[in-house]
Amino acid sequence: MQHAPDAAPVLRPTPSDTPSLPKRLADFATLSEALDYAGKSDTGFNFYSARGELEKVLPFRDLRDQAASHARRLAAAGLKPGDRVALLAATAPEFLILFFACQYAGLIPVPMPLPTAFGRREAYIDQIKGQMLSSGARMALGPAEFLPFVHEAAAGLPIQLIGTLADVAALPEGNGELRPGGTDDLSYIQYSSGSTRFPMGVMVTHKSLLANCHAMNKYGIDNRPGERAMSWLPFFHDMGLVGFMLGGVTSQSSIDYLSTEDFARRPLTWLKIISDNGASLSYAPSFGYELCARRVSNMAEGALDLDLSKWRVAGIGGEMIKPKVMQAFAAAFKPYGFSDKAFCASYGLAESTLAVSFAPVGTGIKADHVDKAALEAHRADPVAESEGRTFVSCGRVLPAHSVEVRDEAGAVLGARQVGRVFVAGPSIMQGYFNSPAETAECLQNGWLDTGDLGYWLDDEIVIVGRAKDMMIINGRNVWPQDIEWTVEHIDGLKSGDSAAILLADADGVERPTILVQCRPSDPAERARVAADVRARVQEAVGIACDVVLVPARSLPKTTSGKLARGRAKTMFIAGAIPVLPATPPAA
Amino acid sequence: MSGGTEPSAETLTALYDILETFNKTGAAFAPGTRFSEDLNFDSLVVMEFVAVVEDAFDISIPLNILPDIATIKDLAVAVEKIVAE
Repeated sequence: MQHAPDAAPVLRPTPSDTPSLPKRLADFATLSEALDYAGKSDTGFNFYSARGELEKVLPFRDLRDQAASHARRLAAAGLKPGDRVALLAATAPEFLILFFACQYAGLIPVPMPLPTAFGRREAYIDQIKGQMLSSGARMALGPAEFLPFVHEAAAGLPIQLIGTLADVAALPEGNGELRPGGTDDLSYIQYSSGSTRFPMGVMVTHKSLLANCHAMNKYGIDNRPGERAMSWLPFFHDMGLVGFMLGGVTSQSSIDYLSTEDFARRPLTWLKIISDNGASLSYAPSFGYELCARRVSNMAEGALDLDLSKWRVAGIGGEMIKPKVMQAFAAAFKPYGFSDKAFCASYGLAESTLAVSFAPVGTGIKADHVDKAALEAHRADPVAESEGRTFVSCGRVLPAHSVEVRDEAGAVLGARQVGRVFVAGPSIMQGYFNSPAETAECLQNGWLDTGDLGYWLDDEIVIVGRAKDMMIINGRNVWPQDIEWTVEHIDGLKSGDSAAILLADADGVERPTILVQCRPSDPAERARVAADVRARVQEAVGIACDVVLVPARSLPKTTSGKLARGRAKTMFIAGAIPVLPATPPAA
Repeated sequence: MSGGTEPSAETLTALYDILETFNKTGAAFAPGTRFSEDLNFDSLVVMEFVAVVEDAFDISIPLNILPDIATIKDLAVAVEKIVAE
């Protein structure tokens, strides 16, 4: 940032359109075919700094040429078709070149995360080690500054090369043959929000990927000529990898990038780049919108120089959508031309490549308020906003895909009945890599058990939570989110501080238990916290529960920062989460 | 990273001042205060904090050093090293 810019010619971002090339919406058999076609366009990827300055440009045609050249080198290095290559997924041209080099060489890239927290070296090493081990990676490639972590994590693993893009470029090109995978071959393996100890690699074929990209572009966001996307979503997440990288390549749409860590540092740069380039598409989880709304909350109206009027699809996905957060964002950015009609809620998961359903574009958020008591009886009965729980419709199921909401016996449910959400169609994964038992558990007769709970609102699907987490207490369905919400509104506790789970006692009877991250070190003070939690949950949710105090930051989170409730339970049972002693106050 | 180098009192004080706005746990600051365990920083807060530190010292803090920064002292040493470069 302190360096003066080079005196080189001024960089220009790729245009939003190639008038001479008809737009094709992912109607290709393979990803390499999609890039071959995108390589005829003028569009491509643009990389911006934390301050919103253009730093690197990678037109699709350059990406194609460089990917092909590196593919020859990977093949000549002895990697066989179907071999896995772990890639540290930095938001940079190098990742894209290697990801597509794998496509041209018939190799399977495995995007791996970057570190993002202070002092968590061991957790990070464990995470990438688990992914390299599970995928049986033959190479692990990434930016030089992260390779020391990879070397440490790869100790004892049969990896033939740990290196950078330059190290691959230094390999001999061999006989020059490309050998892209076929439509039924795997295009990539994605480690989604699975646990560190038992990572689950989602296997996606070219055919599934293209089916999802086609449906998403054509029916989901209605991708049109001149569409321009902006993204800060990481490449190691399904939304960042598929939605905002592969979706762009397969529709020849230019994408402007801000790295995830720069977004987290300077969230408003996201909006600046959208404004500067007139982007029409951008997606984020709720918290992305929340961060921006928070940053402008103490600024004078109009203090920013932004024009968000071209932002046609402001997508939301990746976590439960919070209507209040979205309203706050819309109000804060209305003066800059943002329309709340641009909000587009969607539902998806890595196991279905990415997208399952989309709200109709241009209609904004559709909230549904339902009765809390009826919800426990599996019904989503409408009530007035002030009395109910609010959910957001995730829209209609993509064409060629099917969704069923089923009860516990497997019967298909109708409107406003809450049940487990199953998905079928061309986007469904092949399974979890090398994990037939886990695959069979969630994938039967072509139907994927998403593990999510939802209901139909006319022809739109509404997601209410995770089925696997739901507790049945004395015949009542209790949502752990409700218990946690209650706990986290107690003074001194905050969001993410608790995990409500069912634990079997010595007699095998399941008891609702709340793990609470406790910061006070005085045992009497701790006892008071535990008593508060017990009392408030009893009062608000109406259940008696056990309270276990655990150290701050001991509850596991998913890579997107959500509580990994299932993992918390597994770790707790395994003794991996220490219990803080608390002395009850003398009676 | 807690090696032999000792950060200057000025750097530590500057970091304490910045941390004051992020301190939700009411913890007292010392060189050995840990970001995760003592201050309960999640990854979003970490990045927000890093941005303020970058502005205050007019530096850029690379992502790859974060896993080795556990304490305020670790960060102070890293900041001084980057400033010196």
